Amino acid sequence: MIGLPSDNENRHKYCLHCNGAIAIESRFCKHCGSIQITQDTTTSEERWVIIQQMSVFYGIILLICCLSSFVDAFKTSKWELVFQGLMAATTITFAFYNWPNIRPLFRWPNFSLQKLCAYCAIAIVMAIIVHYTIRWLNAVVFTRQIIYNDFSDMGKFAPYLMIFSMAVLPAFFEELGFRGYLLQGLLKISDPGQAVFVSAFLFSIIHLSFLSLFWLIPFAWYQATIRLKENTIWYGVFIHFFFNLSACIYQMWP
Amino acid sequence: MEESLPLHENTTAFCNSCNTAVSNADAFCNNCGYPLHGTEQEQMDFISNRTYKEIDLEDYNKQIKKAGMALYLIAAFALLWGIILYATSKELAILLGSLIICIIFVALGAWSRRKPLAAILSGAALYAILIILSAIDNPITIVSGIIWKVLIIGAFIRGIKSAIEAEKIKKELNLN
Repeated sequence: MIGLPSDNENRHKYCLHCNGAIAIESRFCKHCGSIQITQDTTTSEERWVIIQQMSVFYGIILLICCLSSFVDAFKTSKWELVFQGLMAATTITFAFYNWPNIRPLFRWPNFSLQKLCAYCAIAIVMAIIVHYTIRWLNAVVFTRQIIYNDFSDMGKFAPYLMIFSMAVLPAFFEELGFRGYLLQGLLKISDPGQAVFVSAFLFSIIHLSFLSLFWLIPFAWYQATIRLKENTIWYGVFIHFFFNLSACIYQMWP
Repeated sequence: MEESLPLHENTTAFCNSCNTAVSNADAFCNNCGYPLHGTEQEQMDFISNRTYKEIDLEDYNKQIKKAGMALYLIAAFALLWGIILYATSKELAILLGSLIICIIFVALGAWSRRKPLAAILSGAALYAILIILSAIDNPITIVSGIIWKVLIIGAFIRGIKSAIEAEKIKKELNLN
C-alpha cells in the first residue's frame, strides 16, 4: 500500500552548523545544539552608537525646521534657501559617513517606466486628495498647515525657486535622509516593521503640523515600504517630487 | 537512497529546561538547546546561564516599563496643559493640539509593551520637538520643570538601551 509521505520527510531542514537534518520548526539543532536563527552581527554597543548618530542627525534637522518655521526673523526667501542648504549638507554628511550602507540605494535594479509612471500618478492623486481634505479641515478647525514659501520677494525667478526649493530639493534630500540614511540605520537596530514605522513617524512629526499628521504618516510609511520593496531611493524621489510639485502648483494657482 | 529522519521512540521525554516534549534519541532540545545527554555539569551550566539571562531580561523589562510610564506621564501633562491654556485663551486649536499629543503618547505608551524600541524612540523624538518648540516660544521653559525633564529623558535613554538588550536576549532564549 502506497502511503502518504510522513510529516518528518516533508518538514525538515538542515542545521546551519553541522548540516544535520532537523525538524523545520526547530529553533536549536537536536544534534549539535546550535541556534538556528541567523545571528545578528551588530552588537548592542554598535546599535547604541547608531542610535546616537541618528539622534544627532535628527536633532540638527529638527532644529533647522523649528527655527525656519517659528522664528520670524528667518521667514524670508533667502533664509529659506540657507536652511535648505544646511539640511542638504547635513544629509550629505551623514550619508557619506555611512556610504557603504547608502551607496547600494543609488542603484536602480529592475527599473520599470510603467511602474515609475504608476507611482507618480498615485502621488499626484494623493496630493489632490490631501489638498482638498486639508482645505476643508482648516476651515473647520483653524490650525497650522504646511504653507510653502512662494519666494514672491525674488521677482521673476519666484516660481522656479519655489519649485526648486519645495519640490526638487526635498524630494532628493528628504528621501536620502529619511528613507536612505535613517531607515538603513533603523534596519540595523530593529526589524523592518518597526524601522518603517519609526522612519515614517520621525519624518511626519518634523513637519511640525498636527493637522497634516493624518496624511504625512501614511505617506511616509508608503515611501518607506516602497524603498524597502524596490531597494532603491529613486522611486521614492520621483513620488516625492510629483507630490510636492502638485502642492506647489495648487499654492501658485489656487 | 532518500535520507530519512530517525523515527521517534515511543517513550516521550521532557526537556528539563523548557519542558518541551523531546525524543530520547535527540542530543539537544530543539526548542531551547538544552544538552539532553550532556554531563551534569554541562546541564547545570546551561540552566544557570539561562537563568542569568532571564534575570537580566526581567531587569530590562522593568526599565522598559518605566519608559512606558514616562510616555503616559507626558500624555497627562500635555492634556492638563491644554485644558489650562484653553481655559484662559478659549482657543480650540490649542485644546485640539494638546489632545492629539496626549493621544499619540498614550498610543506609544501602550505600544511600548509590544515594540518598546520603536515606541520609545518615537516618543523621545516627539518629546524633543515639544521641548524645542517651547524653548523657541519662551526660552525660560528650558529650565522650568527641569527635574521632570531630566527624569523623563533618563527613562527614555535607559528604556532604549534596555529594549536593545531585551530583544537580543529574547532571540537567544527563543521567547519571541
